[in-house]
Amino acid sequence: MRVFFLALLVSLLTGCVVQPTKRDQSAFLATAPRSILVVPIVNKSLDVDAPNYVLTTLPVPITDKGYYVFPVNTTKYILEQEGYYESEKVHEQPASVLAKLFDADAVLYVTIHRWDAQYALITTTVTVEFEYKMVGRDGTEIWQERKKMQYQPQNNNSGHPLAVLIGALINAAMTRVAPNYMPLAKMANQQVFVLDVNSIPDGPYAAKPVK
Amino acid sequence: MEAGRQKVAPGLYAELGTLYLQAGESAKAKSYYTKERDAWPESRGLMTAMIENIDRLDQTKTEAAQ
Repeated sequence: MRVFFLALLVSLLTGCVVQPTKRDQSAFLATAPRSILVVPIVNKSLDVDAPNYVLTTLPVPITDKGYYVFPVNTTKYILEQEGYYESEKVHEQPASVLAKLFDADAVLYVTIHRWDAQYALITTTVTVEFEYKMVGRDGTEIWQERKKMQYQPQNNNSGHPLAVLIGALINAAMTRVAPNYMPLAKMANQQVFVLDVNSIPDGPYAAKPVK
Repeated sequence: MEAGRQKVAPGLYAELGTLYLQAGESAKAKSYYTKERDAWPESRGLMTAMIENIDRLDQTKTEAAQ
């Protein structure tokens, strides 16, 4: 009987681990981009500063993957010179037009869906959620991903219950006042571009594995 | 990084060039755009366009001054 329960437990535990399925990347491999243009980000959150913060976190992971990333601020500046002040307008443009303008192989569109801190008295949850879409210069979508990251400050000091409660209250209030989004945003990008099963394949400048 | 003979990350020279351009120092901007173009062949199209733009602006400026 005990053996049966043990077997059941093991099967339940292993059953809980959902392996994300690897998506077909043939479209990406067929396009085989060398350079990626990151266009200004569409913001669907309530924080007006969010797009610029996210824009600064994108080039590093993509460069680490071995691609040439067009200078994001220069891109923004040029687009403004061309009259595209709103990122929504840029996202409406077909990728082929943008790619031609910058001589890029692929265009990366990023949308911010969430960038907020929810305050619930003794704990604050900081949430970021991004949507990524990469389109080749011929207009075919070659890669897309959506990522949500959450952070909750942990209060694991063991002392007088009242002290713990007050500590938690202060901690939650502090997180509410100055939410630290950047580590979350960086982590989301790192996972999406480098760590996940469906991350983009290595680019032409990727570091060769050391033998 | 230059002294260490490591390759400078893509886009860094160009960003610096744009900052110089926005500050009105087009000669410095041009030199950094040239560096970016030489370091990363993928950027050639854009950087050449930027340099040509600066040249054209400088030309119109000198013509206006005359």
